Amino acid sequence: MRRRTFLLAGLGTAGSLFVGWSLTPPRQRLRPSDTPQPGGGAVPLNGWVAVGPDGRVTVMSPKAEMGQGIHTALAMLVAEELDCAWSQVQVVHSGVDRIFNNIAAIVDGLPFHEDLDGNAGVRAVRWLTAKTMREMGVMMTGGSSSVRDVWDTARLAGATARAQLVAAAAARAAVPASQCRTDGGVVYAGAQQFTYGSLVNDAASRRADDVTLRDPKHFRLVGRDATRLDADATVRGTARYASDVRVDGMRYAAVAMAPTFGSTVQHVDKTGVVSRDGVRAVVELSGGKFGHLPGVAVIADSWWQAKQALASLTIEWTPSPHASLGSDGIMQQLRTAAAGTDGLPFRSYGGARDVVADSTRVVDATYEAPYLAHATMEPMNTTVRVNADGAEVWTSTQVAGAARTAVAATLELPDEQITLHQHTLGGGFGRRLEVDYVAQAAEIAKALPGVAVQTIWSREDDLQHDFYRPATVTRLRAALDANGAVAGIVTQSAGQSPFQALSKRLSIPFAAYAPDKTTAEGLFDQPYEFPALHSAHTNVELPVPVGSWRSVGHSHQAFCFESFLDELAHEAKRDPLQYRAQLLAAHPRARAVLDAAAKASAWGTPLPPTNDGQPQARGLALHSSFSSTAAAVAEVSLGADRRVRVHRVVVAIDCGLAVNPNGIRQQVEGSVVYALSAALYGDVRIEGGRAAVHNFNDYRPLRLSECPEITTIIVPSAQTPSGVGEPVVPVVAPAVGNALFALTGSRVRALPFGAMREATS
Amino acid sequence: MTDRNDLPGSAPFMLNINGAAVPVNASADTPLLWALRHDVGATGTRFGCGMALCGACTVHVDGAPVRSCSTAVRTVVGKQITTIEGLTGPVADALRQAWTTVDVAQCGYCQSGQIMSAAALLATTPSPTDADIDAAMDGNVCRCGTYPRIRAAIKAAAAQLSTVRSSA
Repeated sequence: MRRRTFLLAGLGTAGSLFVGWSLTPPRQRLRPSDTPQPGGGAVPLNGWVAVGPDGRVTVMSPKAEMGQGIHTALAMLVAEELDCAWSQVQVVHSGVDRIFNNIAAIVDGLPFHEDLDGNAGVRAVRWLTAKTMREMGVMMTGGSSSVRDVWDTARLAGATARAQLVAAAAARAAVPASQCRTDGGVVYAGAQQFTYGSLVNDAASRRADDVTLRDPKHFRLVGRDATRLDADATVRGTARYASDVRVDGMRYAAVAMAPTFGSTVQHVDKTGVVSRDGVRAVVELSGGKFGHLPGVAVIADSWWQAKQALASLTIEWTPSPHASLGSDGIMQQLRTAAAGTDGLPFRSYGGARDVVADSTRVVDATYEAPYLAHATMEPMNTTVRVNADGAEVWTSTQVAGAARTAVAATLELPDEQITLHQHTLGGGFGRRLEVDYVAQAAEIAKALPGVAVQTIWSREDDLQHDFYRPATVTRLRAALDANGAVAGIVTQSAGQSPFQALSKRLSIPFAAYAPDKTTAEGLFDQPYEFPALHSAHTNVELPVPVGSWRSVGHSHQAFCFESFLDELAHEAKRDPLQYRAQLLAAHPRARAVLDAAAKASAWGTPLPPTNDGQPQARGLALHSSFSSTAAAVAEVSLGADRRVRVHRVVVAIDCGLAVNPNGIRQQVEGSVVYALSAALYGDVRIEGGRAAVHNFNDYRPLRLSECPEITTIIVPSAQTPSGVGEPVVPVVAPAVGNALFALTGSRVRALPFGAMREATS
Repeated sequence: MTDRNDLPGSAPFMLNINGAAVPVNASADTPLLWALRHDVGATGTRFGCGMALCGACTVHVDGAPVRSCSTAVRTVVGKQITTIEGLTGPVADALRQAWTTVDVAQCGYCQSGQIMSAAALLATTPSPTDADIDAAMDGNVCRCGTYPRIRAAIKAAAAQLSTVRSSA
């Protein structure tokens, strides 16, 4: 018990180091180490905003655009304060700079309710955490943290730039700055007016000291629907993803990676391949610590030639030490660990374990979730050119700094000699938090110095060499009193730790001692009040690569917890809505979200049969994550062969102040579809030491005809904006599962749902 | 290094792409997708699966939607190939307008293919039902989950085209 206290306290203290950092005035995040080069003659006024002579405003975004709409939201924050016309704004990806380090995500990574106890050894853990964050690179787009992270700084960047422009105009018109006003990219100074473009050169050298941010009551852009700034390029096909990069003299690479976990190249027979049409080189890859695998790449004049040549290679792989590893065995191993009682507790109060042990009425249920792949629409790819004085990289990543470091380390060059061009991501979902594909592209391009080599994965490569959402088994036990009310809950989950896997790959010492909040999040950090709770997790080491999958631990633990809560409601013979409402009595914000979803879905009223005459039922779930709370009501029926059909999903979300309501609705819709794909079909089976999925035929995404009607309620809030991209994902599977129980009386405790088995109870 | 044009199976094909005759230096079995992206530089047509399972690579061949990742260049010689870059006319305009107004796209990677499939649908079915939309669009995967807005945008474009027709 002593050691556990130390561990959690340690992370808390390491966290406070970063909290202190986050309290650094946002002003200090305005000045970059290097002068930005936004291009087009635009003059930077700080690290975030540049204005061109034509008045065009360029916002430099440290956040990667991957469909979540951050470029539009960030531009709204800047433009709100800058007083430029919305039509003047464009957004580009910024360079890598420490001012862009993501503080919100680090603070969010701390376990809530930590059992703090100042302690010896804390410094060691602080060092460990700091080193890990440095290695990962904290210029990160993820953890639903972007708007939170830039909320103050982006507005300040706009306000400061505006003040500089006003100062320049005031000097020119010889009036006090207080007699100037701004609107639509123009400064009105006394009787004169100046466009921002005409002032920018002068403004760049001026200081702006007394800058105050606009009162939210007077927001003109923030809080109103904005459509995406990048929409036109998308509908014309002119958007440029990393795989669309074209560089003079470039070549293309296709790659074969170790097919089974832990195997490597034994022998490659290159006979006949190097003389094939267009082939430039065959490269053996050693792989390395960034998670890039051993393998063989073929570089050719076109990707199709490379792919064909690769297929004609005979590659012998060393036998996998995990050749017998399969999903059945893995799940059995996880079930055994979840049945134990020795997990690391993330929260423990009220003597929950004793309460459950001593109770005569215990509900005991075990839930299971499989491995999942991200399956971004754009397969992994990166272009690298190794030059005499460094290297140039064209890629799309959620961690630009770490990607640069991965290339630098692979080429044995300092970071500063690597120029990274960030492109819009053809989907991220956490997959592009890994830099394996970037390091690999560097290893391949090294074979042809001076030549830009674009390495592109096939869909099969993408699905078989992902960093999967960990498979997890969670056992939940609740002691009930005579009235059926909860006296205490004990959760014991088991699965791999993505954080530890990453730390070990990067050879960070003591990694095994760092608790990974993501393993148990969703169980110990929910707003419900129970008299006693004990939430523990056992890390099970397995050779399957694991990583962050949209909403991370919440993605599966919400299914376990919210389904279990539904069981408890039924055990207590209570309506699931009323049951949750009572547990949320002390949490009015969460309660309001629950009520909003219930009201919009007409919870409690009868549902008519479907068009084909099948009965429908509703299911409810609520979950807090990424500082936001979401609730969903799903309406489901069974089709032919008892196939699960979801007709409508009503979602309510409290994500603080809604910067761009339209963007939030997009993310809610996207979250429902992404989560429903996983809930209905997602299952990366492991067979023979490898992932047994290949393409969209056996890793099935939801399709348009299966997409439910989606209704979004944004609960009004004046609080600081919180997460949007992920918090809705967790509620979807439990809402569907709870609806299936209401419909059939059968409780499905393992994902995916697929087709319902015949009712057994 | 051998000049690849001297090798068997490799011939310059003249393809008609977006109304222009374009020489494509690729072997006969090269998928049209890679010829477009590599030889023509029409990168708006995108690679998603390589097996005609996701629709990201959809183009029109003589007006019909085709998955270019699974269509060999030799089979489209002499046919009219249209990519997202060359998609023009009232249907294209209406779809682009609707896509922008409804704000369909998220990451946008699949949207070229979505619009090409939608354009082919509206060309033959000016007032599509939900079932028509399901049938025409089910082969186009979107992982960002833009399906509800795709459906709404197709209906909006169809309505706008119908207004234009009835006022003409």
